[in-house]
Amino acid sequence: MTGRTRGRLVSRALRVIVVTALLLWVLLPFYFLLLVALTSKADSLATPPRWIPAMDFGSFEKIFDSLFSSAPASSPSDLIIPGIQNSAVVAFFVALLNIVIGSMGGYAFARFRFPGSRVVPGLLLGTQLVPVFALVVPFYVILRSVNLTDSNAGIVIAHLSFTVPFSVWMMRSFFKGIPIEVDRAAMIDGCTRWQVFYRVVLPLARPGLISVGLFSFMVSWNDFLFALVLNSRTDAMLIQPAISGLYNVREQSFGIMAAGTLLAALPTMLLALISQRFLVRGLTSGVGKV
Amino acid sequence: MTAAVRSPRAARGAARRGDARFGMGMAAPALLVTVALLAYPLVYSFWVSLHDQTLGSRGRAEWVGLDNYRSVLTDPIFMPSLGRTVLFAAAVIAGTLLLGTVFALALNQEFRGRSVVRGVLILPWSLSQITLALTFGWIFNSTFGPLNGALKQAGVIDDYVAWFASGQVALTVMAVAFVWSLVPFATLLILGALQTVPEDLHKAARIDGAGPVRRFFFVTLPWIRDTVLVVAVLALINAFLAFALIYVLTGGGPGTETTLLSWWGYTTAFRDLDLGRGAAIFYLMTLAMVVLAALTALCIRGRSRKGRHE
Repeated sequence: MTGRTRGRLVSRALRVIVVTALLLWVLLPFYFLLLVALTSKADSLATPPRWIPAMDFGSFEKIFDSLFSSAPASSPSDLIIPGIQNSAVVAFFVALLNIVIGSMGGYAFARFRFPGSRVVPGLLLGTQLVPVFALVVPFYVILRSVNLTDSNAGIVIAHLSFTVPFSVWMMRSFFKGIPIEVDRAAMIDGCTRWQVFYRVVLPLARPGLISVGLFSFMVSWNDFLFALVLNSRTDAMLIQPAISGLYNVREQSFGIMAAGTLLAALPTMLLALISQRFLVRGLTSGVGKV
Repeated sequence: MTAAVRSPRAARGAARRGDARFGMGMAAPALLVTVALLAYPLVYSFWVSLHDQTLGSRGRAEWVGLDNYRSVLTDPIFMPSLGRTVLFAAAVIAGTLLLGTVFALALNQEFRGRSVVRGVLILPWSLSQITLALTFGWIFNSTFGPLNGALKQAGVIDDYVAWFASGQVALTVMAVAFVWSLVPFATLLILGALQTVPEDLHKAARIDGAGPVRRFFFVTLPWIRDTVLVVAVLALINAFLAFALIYVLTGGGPGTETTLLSWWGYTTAFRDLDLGRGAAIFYLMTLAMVVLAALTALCIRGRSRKGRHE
């Protein structure tokens, strides 16, 4: 009996240690960023470094300055706010198109039988294994030949290539979770096939739509390779290339580098926190059934 | 037997045809995107890799057959970067699986605040590779970074470590960053699998006298093995794409000491502007990915056919 209680104590202590380690592991890097982002330039160069933030918002102010001046960008920090704006537009369209195309395709593969309806879903999931690298050279050559490398429209198109197949797969598993009797009842009530989809089933699949939208928004927002290669205009630069330039001028201000990093990460962090139930369910729905 | 008097069977057949047509219509946009934006570029990429296409030769590409592949495979950079990529991927996979499993085991128990911990877990996963690079670039900054500062204050080191001065250490730092960003997702997936392990199995093993360690290896691990494999493939894919981290932190250097295949492909295509060779490198990587993933899928399917899961 004492052996048993001792075992329980040991396992409890072990759990406390592991959970503490986990929290430190996850949160410390964020703390280090916040620490230097909220430290004045002079203090950020102190050795040993400060361990408590000085609550100096100078770095953030510097970044937001570009909002109020019409002068062309003169340093990498001026590109952050425009980058956030440009990325928001691109990611919004990518998410919207994924919701539309993904829900239609997902519904088709969940409900109807037509040539290819059995084989294609597996292939769609398989496309996730294609490294995006294999696509960047052809996209570059093609978009350049139609003069789309100076706008972000080409990037929206490129982002669709690796988000849509997964969105279709995710939506398919959400629709499969809705009983087919719902469709049948609506048909008997006189709905056309489109009305069944649009008025009846789609509202029931809202969690799926949210997952697909969020997931594709985050993928688009976080993409660096296409954003770097497919757009040559500085004033249309997206957020990831914009903050990547901060590293080259880090010696001038670690604070701005950290503040820019946090600002660039904030939207996806918030989305992930708010919606984590949807995200995890949606993503595992895809992965669990390889 | 006019068309107006349709038998129920004929009516059902017509409905089914209508269903099929509607289904195809609904699937059309998705298929169009997949074919036009994914399949076609993949094929086109192969076409580019068979040509001598540089940025100067705008539009005009000269057929060179497999020359690009030959020159890539015999390039003195190839073997070392392949070796580094394999080692890097192995380190990322091992770290991710190990920490992910340990954290998942801890989270699989009931305790106060568990949902908060699970909530926080998703944060690193939501970051881009660039933010990841900047974060770890700061932590491991050799002069002002917090890690050197903390280690020195704790008396672990006497002099600051120049983390990015040697290729091996720099690659290790990047692997740590990757593991950091992948562990949360791995934890959530493995946790999901752990929650399906039947309690009876553990009870039976306990009655047979198996301790916690043996129960893990002989009961839990076999049960979650498929999920572990999936996590390994996800980690592998990510490790293969380590390009952005290298772009920010080392630029492949010092020398070519941190040049992984992805970085080599990028510089070949977009710095040396040799699109044909770049496409060849990326194509070889794609092939390797597909083969590895197919092997994993076969592995999973082979086992589930043997009857445990189905």
